[in-house]
Amino acid sequence: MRRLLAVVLMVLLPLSAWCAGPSQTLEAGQVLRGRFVQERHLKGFNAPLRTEGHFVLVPGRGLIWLAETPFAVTTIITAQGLVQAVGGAETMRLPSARLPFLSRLYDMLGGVLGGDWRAIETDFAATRSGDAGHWQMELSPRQTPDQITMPFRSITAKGGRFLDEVILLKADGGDFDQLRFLDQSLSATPLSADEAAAFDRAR
Amino acid sequence: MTGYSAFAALPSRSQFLALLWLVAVAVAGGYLAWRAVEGIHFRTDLTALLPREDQDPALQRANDTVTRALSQHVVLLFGAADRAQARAAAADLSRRLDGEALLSASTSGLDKDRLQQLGRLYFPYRRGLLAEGDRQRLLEGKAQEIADRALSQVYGFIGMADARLLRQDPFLLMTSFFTGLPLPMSRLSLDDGMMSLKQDGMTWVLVAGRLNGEPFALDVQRRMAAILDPVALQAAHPGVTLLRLGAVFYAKAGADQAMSETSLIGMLSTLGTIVLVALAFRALSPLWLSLLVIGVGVMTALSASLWLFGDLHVGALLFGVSLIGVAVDYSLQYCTEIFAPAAPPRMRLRRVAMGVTLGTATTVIGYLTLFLAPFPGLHQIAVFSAVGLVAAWMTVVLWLPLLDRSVPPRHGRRLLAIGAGVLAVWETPGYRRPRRLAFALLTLAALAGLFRLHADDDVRHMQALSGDLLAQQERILRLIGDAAGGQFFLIQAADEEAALRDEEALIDALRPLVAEGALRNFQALARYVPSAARQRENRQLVRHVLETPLLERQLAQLHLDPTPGAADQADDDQQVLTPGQALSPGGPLGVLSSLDLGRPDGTTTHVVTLEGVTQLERVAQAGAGMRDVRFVDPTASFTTLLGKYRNRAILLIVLSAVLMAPLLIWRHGLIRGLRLLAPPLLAVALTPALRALGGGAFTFFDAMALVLVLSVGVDYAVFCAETSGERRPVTMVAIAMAACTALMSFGLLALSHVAAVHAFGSTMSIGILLAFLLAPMARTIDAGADEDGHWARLAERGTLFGLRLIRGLYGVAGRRGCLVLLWLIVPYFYLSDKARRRHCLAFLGEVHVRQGLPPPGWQEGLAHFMSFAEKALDTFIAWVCPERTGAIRVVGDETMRRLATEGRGGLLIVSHLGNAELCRAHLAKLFGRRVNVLLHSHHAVQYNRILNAVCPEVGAETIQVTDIGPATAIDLKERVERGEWIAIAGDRTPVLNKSRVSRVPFLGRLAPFSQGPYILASLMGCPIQVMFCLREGDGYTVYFETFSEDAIPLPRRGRDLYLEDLCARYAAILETYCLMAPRQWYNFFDFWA
Repeated sequence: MRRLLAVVLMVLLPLSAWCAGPSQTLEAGQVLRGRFVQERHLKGFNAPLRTEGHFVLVPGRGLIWLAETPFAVTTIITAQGLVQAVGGAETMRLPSARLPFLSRLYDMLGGVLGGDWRAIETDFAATRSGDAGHWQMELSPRQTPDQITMPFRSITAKGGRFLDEVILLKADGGDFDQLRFLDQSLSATPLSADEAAAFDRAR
Repeated sequence: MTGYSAFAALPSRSQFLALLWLVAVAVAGGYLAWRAVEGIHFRTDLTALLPREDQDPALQRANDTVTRALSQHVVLLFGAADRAQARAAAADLSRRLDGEALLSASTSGLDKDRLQQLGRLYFPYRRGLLAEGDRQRLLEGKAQEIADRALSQVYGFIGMADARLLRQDPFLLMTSFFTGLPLPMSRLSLDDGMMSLKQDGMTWVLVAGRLNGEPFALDVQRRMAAILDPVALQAAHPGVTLLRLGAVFYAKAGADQAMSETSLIGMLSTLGTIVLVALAFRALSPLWLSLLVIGVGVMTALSASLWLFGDLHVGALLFGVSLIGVAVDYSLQYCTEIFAPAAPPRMRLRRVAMGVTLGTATTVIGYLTLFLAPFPGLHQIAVFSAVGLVAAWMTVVLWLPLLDRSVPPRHGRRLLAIGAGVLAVWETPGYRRPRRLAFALLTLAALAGLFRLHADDDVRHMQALSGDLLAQQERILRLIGDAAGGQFFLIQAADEEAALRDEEALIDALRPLVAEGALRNFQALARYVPSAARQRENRQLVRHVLETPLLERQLAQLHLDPTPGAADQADDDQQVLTPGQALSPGGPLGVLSSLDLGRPDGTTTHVVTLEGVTQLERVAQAGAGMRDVRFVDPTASFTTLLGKYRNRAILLIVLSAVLMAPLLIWRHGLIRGLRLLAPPLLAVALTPALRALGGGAFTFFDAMALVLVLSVGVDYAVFCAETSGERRPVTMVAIAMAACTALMSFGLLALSHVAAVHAFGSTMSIGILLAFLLAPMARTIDAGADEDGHWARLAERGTLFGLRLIRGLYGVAGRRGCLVLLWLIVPYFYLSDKARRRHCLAFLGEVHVRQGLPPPGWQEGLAHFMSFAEKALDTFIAWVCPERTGAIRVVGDETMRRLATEGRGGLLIVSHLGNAELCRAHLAKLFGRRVNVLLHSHHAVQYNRILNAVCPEVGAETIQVTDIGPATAIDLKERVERGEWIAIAGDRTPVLNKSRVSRVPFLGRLAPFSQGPYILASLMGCPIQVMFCLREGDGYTVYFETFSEDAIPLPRRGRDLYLEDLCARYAAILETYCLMAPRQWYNFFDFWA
């Protein structure tokens, strides 16, 4: 399930760029950076669980998700799979061989970046509304939601130039995740040494 | 004429037996046909041939269960570049396999239902279940790490928090336990309902499960092969590769190979036999007789084995087919008799009957010793072969004489020349040097081979696994990471709890080894269901080390209120998850049920299977010191067992020889019987050495082959020993053909790809060749000593030596002294010469019947022998010092005197009743005429030698009977006209020309009498007198009877009847005198034969 979300995000993040227009398509060499705030609303819990941090998305290499508060956890997703580290020490490694879904969608990512919507459409029904400056997209899974294979009932994405917010409604009714992306920027600066090292470690 | 009714009775007895045998064969054939209609099942698993571990039934059972579980495990991987194609192919074939109920699909991975079931199973006991890493952390007091990890997961990137789960398990211990479970086939994961894997651009979809049925049953293999046919697959789903793993595929490949080899070998062997027989005999009759024998043998063997065992192993069939080479020996022995001097079929059979029977008996003994090895497969081979051989023997003995219509061939000369040539190599002094050279070379080669001799018992070398399947297996294992090896730990404890605790101790020992790479993974029940003690301990740990300090803070961080879920804690302190609950079949952990072997012998038995073992010794040591834990390596233990039985097999050979020896000693006497065993034993000893020279290893199967080499070798030696005289080249030809056919069948086995069969075939080939080459060593060296043969080859035992001895003694001690010596020697001869004793007693029996006396006992027999010894002594005295002979009376000599005065000679028919030798010198003196004695060649040579050594002046010439040609006949006639007498024995039948024999009554039974004397007399146109010289009191009385005063004219018509009449007259005279002095009868053979 976690993998599924990761993949969805990876697809959605660059979507914004695409939605905004061809001029904003992510090209090779460009890096998307930003901050995120994740709020997890769970039924019966008194308050949402809030995580803040920042991320780096590099097309062709993967995504670095650095959660900073309340726990510093680094998650790196590449074509090879998912790696998590706490304080420099690796805590989890899931190879993509075990995540066929992940690798499948990772391939589709390339297609989507190039403007091919059909890939997403096999698993989700997408409805778009709004315009380039202010758009909203609703994804409904074609599969019946259940805990393991498709844990979402719906995914709502909002954005302007970039993807600003994603709301994931869990299959389990009542639980949802809210992800907000702030201070995003596209730059052609190459990766810092740390970031490159992180990707290397994940291989 | 008299006696014809007796004639008619004899054939009908053998016909009756033949009919009985026909009925038996028909029954066997019927049974076989019935089974064939129902379908005959052949087993193909090599394990059925391998030995049972008899010391430890629990171990054997564990072995069996693990092996069976492993062997029923089937893995199919469908790979394609296009995911949809792979999935489609997998779904299609999976459905078809399901439809045929061949496979119980059990993807032992994580599918949605299974996960949910697992969750439901574990949930009530979650507080007792801790992942191994978590337990370590708690024991080391690092509870905070667990708390942090849980929080980071909940807060983390796309946290997997399920609200309800978190409330019950705020530290995510269950999740951790779940992910820590070493579920098999971990490299795969669930992709939309199918376990699959993506690698190198290919998508692989898995269909796995348990085979419904025996992987070694041919019909299961066939059905699987039909569904998984690669050609059909390509047609239906192009671009999809299928990799397969499972014992059923190996078994099919092995079975296919074995079946094709069987049919090939069987066909080639039969073909070769046909060609050989056709070439040798150039007639159809021996050919179809041999085929009949082989056919009946194989058919009855198959029928009997199926009846006894239910189903037959393919290996037994394979070896049984090579039986063809051995069974044909017996029919060949019979058929080659056609090259010997002509005789009716029953006579020909009689000549070889003893040899064939002895050969069959020894070979059957050899095969039956295979029963002593506890190999079920060898039992089948033993029964199959023994029944087949006995059936072949019965066919030869009962049917062949009745069915034989062969005519004596004209081309036999060349063939016999070959046989004689082989014999010449052994007998001619000229060949002595090459013989010695050959022996030296053989010894050298054997010594060289001994250096290279090494044993190899590795059972993996025994069965050649299909290379293609092995490659597929490698690929599958690399892809899915499931490498169940053969090794495992066996745990036998008093109850479940103790077993689980033992497992936990073992797991602690194995985990560091996994980290070091000594093995990749292991499956143990305790990893899925901890022991009760541990579950309680875990609960304590969780309560005291984790929750008490950290729970509040954790809940606060999760923004949760402390729930009244704490109320559960009190309850589940009592509840513990047991294996019985976890392993319910159909439940989520049903696949692990093979790890629990139940309670055989009252102890709970668990298995811990190991995967990917690289350092065997270290892993084996992990269980050291634990009383209930045992490391089992089936392959290694098979190997050790094979080694053990290889050594035992050598003992079996010795035992086999020991079992055969009494039979041979009974037949041939002690020394000759043991000498018979020398060539086969030599062959057995030299064969491994020679094979090692060629690089072969000495394995158990080589040892078993040597057992058979011994029995077949004994056959050849027996045939050599049972033959004599002119029949020897014939026998050599028969043995050569037998060796050829045997080499063809076993030599073909050497071409097999199955290592065990190849070893067996090579050893057999070398062994049989050696046995054949060495067999003539057992031949009869002295010039004929088989008592059932012709009288002419009866050598006076020890005559020359005895005579020298007696001469010396006589000079010293006189007649009395010699008699004493004879009293010492004769009993030995009486006891050891069984055949002559038998005949002597038989003869005396007939006489006693006529005289109304009770049957003779050993005293009468001994007295008879003594009488013979006295006769020899008297003869000797007569030659050496004729004046010392006692008084000689003459009775009925009027006609003789008259003929002598007329200057006419004649034919004197003497016999071996009484001492005819004695009178030679005296007769000459009596009538002033020369007496010529007609004797057989061998006897004559020796006789003349003795005479010349003892008293050269006894001028009576000894003329050889076999040499009577026209020249001799004329010479004889001239002598008779000169007045000389020709003495000829009337109670001995001629050597070769057995047709000039009439069977006439003698002492109440029909006995053969030679027509020769009367024909000779008719040719020479001279009178016939009959003479007996019987010892009476201290002296001798010579009786003359006039048989015919003038020449006998032989009529043209009714000549045979006339001659028969003459023989009958002589027989009557002989009988009269015989009854006068039965103990002076010196024909120690079966006179009525």
